[in-house]
Amino acid sequence: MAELDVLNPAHVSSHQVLEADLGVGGRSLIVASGIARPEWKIDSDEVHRGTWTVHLRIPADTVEQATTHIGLASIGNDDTEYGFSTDSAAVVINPATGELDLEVALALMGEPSTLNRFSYQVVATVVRSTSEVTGTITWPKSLWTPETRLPSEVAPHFTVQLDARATSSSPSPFGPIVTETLTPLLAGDITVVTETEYEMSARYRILNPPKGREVKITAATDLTAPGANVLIGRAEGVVDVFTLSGGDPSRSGVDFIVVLEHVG
Amino acid sequence: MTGPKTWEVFVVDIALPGDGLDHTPPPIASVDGLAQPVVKIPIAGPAPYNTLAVARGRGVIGRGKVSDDFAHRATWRSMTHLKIPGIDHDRPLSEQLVHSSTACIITMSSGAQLGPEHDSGSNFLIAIDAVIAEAYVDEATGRFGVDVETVNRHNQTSSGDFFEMTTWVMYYDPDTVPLDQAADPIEPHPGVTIHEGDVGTSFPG
Repeated sequence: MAELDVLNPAHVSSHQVLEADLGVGGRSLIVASGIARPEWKIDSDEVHRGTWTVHLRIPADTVEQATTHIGLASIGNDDTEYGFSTDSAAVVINPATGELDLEVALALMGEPSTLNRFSYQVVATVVRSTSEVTGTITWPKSLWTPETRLPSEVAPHFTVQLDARATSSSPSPFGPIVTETLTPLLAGDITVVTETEYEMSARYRILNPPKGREVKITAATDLTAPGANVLIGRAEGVVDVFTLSGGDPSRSGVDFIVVLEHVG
Repeated sequence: MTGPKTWEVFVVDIALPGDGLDHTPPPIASVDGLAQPVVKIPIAGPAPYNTLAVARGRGVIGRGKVSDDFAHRATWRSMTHLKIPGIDHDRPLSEQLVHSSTACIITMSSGAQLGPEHDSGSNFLIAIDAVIAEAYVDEATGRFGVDVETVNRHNQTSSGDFFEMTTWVMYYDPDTVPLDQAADPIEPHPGVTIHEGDVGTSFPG
């Protein structure tokens, strides 16, 4: 019937999560507690039933065990027969986001009655695998050859980031103009530096990218060259805009190249 | 009473006076029941934590028995029988433990209609608005408690409402033995002796 998000204080209050490392095979025990706010009001002498989904925003690749408690937290009635019920609750993994969702069924009767809030507590053991976006940045040695092959020497000269991508379209006499808006979410780390006869290459990694939303990988450099513009862009055939999911949580080969555009 | 006491709830009676009727709600047996045991579990981390505990407490919603058709707001401290050692009270508690707590309505009870001038209808609001993130550890006893924001409103009948709070707490206990080193069953958490006047639920001081 409706969706509630722990990131929105109008939807959920007092959301508190603790995560304990169980010390075996990447398993964690997660306890998520809070008070959800369906703010459901009816004016009827018949029992109404509805379902709500609470997006808990807890990443989990696999839920091994889960148990959930829900209970009434805020109810009201005026002068009539009434009924309030938290009928059922279940924890599922949202296939689009790879995060935990709490699905709750409620029932309500009264003229009027309100079921403003219900409390929840999810206890689950989960297993997480590492998801990542990886790729390389390649540049000509003639532009810059670092003294060492240490990532710490190379990293200050390159920025790789994962951006949330949104587009909007506006009409024009020449057809619709599409505007791209990028919001930085995560930064990448340089992990390995390699070289060939003419080129240097730095491998980067962005850990735990978000799922269920369109993202774009962008790169930048502060390297300069006399008489030339230093440009950085995606390598040929590389797709730098994509949406990850629980079943497809990682992406590799998002490569960038640096080229020199000589001026004059 | 034998065994560990729990659910020591004092009820503020502010029902409308002068009508000569007994406004006491029906007995609420569970309020006087024995404490549920505290469960303590050794964990591997995250550092510095090595212990996860589950504990429960109860409390009054709003201001106890009310019948004046006003919304009565109150924040109650729901104490548990979990004792946490080694707390430095000069440092924020949130740096020394992590908790995840919630509360729900367990009891709503109404007494007799207050007077012949009233009709048989009434309205009510029973609410747990929030569980406060900053928890509480008593300096003298080490007992762990959580503050809960509540509201209740009733009219025409004197009514009282109660909540139960469940908390999971992650903290460091020097006596916790890691699971892979425990040769004997885990010792049960000891009961807590309650003295006269040591109420389990109180207004935060």
